[in-house]
Amino acid sequence: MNYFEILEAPISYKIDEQKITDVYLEKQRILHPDLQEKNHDDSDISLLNEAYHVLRSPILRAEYFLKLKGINTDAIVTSESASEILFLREQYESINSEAEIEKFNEYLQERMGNLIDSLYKLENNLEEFNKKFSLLRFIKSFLDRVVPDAYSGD
Amino acid sequence: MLIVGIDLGTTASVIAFMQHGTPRSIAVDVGKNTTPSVVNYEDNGIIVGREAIYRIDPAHSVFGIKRFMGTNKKFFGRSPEEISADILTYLKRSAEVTLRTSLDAAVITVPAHFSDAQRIATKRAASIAGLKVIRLLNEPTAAALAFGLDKKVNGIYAVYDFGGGTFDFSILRLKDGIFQVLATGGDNYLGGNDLDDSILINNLSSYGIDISQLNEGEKMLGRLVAKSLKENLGNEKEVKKNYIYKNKNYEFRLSDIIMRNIAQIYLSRTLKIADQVFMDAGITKKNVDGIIMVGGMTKMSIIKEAVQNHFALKLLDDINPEEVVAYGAAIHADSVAFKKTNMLLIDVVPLTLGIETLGGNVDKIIHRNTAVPIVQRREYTTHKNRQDGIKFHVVQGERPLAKDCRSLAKFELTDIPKMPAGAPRIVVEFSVDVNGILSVKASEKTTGVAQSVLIEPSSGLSDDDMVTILENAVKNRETDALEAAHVFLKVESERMINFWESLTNEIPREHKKFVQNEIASLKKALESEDFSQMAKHKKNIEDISGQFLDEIISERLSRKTLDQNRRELA
Repeated sequence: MNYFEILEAPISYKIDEQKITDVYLEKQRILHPDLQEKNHDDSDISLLNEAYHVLRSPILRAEYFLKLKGINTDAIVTSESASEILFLREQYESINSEAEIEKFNEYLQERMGNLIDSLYKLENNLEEFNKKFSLLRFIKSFLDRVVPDAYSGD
Repeated sequence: MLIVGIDLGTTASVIAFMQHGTPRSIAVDVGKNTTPSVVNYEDNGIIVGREAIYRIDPAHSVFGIKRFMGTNKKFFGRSPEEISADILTYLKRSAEVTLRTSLDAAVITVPAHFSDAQRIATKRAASIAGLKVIRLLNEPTAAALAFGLDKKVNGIYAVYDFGGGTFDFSILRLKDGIFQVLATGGDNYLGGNDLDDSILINNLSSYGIDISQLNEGEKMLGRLVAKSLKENLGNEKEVKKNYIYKNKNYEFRLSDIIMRNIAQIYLSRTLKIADQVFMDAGITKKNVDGIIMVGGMTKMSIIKEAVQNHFALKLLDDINPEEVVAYGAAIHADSVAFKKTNMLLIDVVPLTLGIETLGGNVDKIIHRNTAVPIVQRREYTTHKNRQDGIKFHVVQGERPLAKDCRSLAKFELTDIPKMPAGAPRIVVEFSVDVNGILSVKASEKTTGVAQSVLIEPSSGLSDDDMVTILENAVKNRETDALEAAHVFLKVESERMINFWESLTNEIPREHKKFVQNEIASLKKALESEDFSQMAKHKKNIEDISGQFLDEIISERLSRKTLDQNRRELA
């Protein structure tokens, strides 16, 4: 079963979050380890948790959607995205204050929001969808560099 | 059989149980519901709680041990696990005496951002104390549980948990008895202790003293004086307290303005984390029904105001912020132990878990905020011909480079059959259980020769150490619960008598006669080994002294000179 099937949703980038949450919680009521006998197998609940996590995340869902459609999701760089990535790298490398980190973080979040919005319109043009997704993933990797220290592991 | 919830805190601990479907704290330390997480190791025994603060001295005292959980640091030859176990033992024994029953199992809370090593250390502390751990529960989740059960609400709630040592922020969905954590964020080294340090540094520098000139004991005392200034400030413009350093009196001050400036630094860090959690949860502020305020720091009006201003959301602070976490733990303990199906808790992995790959990048295997339990597999291969070993480095954190993440473990899979590069299929399996504890296995699939490596955190106690400590703990632990309770009651009664006899002059006049009479009765009960009388008079003294002991302790700290000849803190 793929993740969409597990959560009883059609295979589409658009999801009804309320609906998949209802299905998820309903299945949790059956599969949650607290309700099982000792030494039970965690693989069903684990798959359910993974499916929900992926489908709820706009980035992970895009990647999973492309994979289900048989599209190779290795990084694609177009001339357009290359210039944006270079620009972001310059921005990132010139950061030298807390305030600038915050500004960069905000900028990236906004840009990510735009790209996610555009993905919804490209569901029938998988080639373009994949290009946007690839750029989105680059942006996310910059965002991971500037998340608050508490997330960095130290 | 009694099942409890324990909030093992950085500055204070609370133990609670379910009584007729409602969580209640058990009064353990001088009749109070919170027990300072301070332990004194003295020649005549181990002292925990308020009396340990009263008698605090660097040669014998440990406080804030929670911050050292999962590390190799030792105090007086004891590991953080053992010291935490001493706090847990005290809570367990006191609860047993109070409730007259034996206590075997507990849900123990941990900060949501506690690492693997810190979680395992907490579990070990419990087993040294003879407590079976039903579950390690994340503190903000516990608070939401207590709140949700009390108010019977549905909706989306945030938990702002600012404690003595750690900060956590979580967003949960509450729906018909299901508590679903949507996202969590936090910092294990951000708490009230940091504010105390700033207050101390601030005051010292006003006298031209640099904190680095102080030894550990002087710092310990200074922090306690700073803490008591912070707690006494309330709505005052300024509070003062004496601090003795190298036999000289210094007047420590804390004004409302200074407090605000200090708090601001730490507040902005908490709010930044909170904003990130909103992003991770995919939730906008207007969709949240309220913020549950948890932890001692949230009693400060400065903190409340700032959180209120930042989020413009309703603050929910009508359950005691110091006890709500233990309440949640008690509720969960009851629910899990008796398999109650009307309530379900879905918690998440707080930080991304991954493997370092070539070039120092991180291959993210389990993303943060994925619900537990979760198992994920990845396949790797060799990159040299006839390569028969492969090294793995397990890391935790969001940054793309392994060097910027926290290193959890390193291990090597050996005896891989010699094959051309790229032929072996090495499957690495990460699994995080409902306690938030990670285990990693690696095996080679092509040849059918599967070998697994199970990792445990490299820091802390070794397995051999644990075996020895557990053996000793079991040997020292009386097998009969009633017998154990009696021994504990006798020891505590004797200590109480000594304590108050040495403090006769500090007892407020209106209570003096009563305390002296009760002490005399307690002595009689001890002589005749009348345990029910012992319990009765001990409780009478606790109930009355609870009204003035904190004041005596606070006074004592500001008059305290440390004996410089005594051995330094290890």
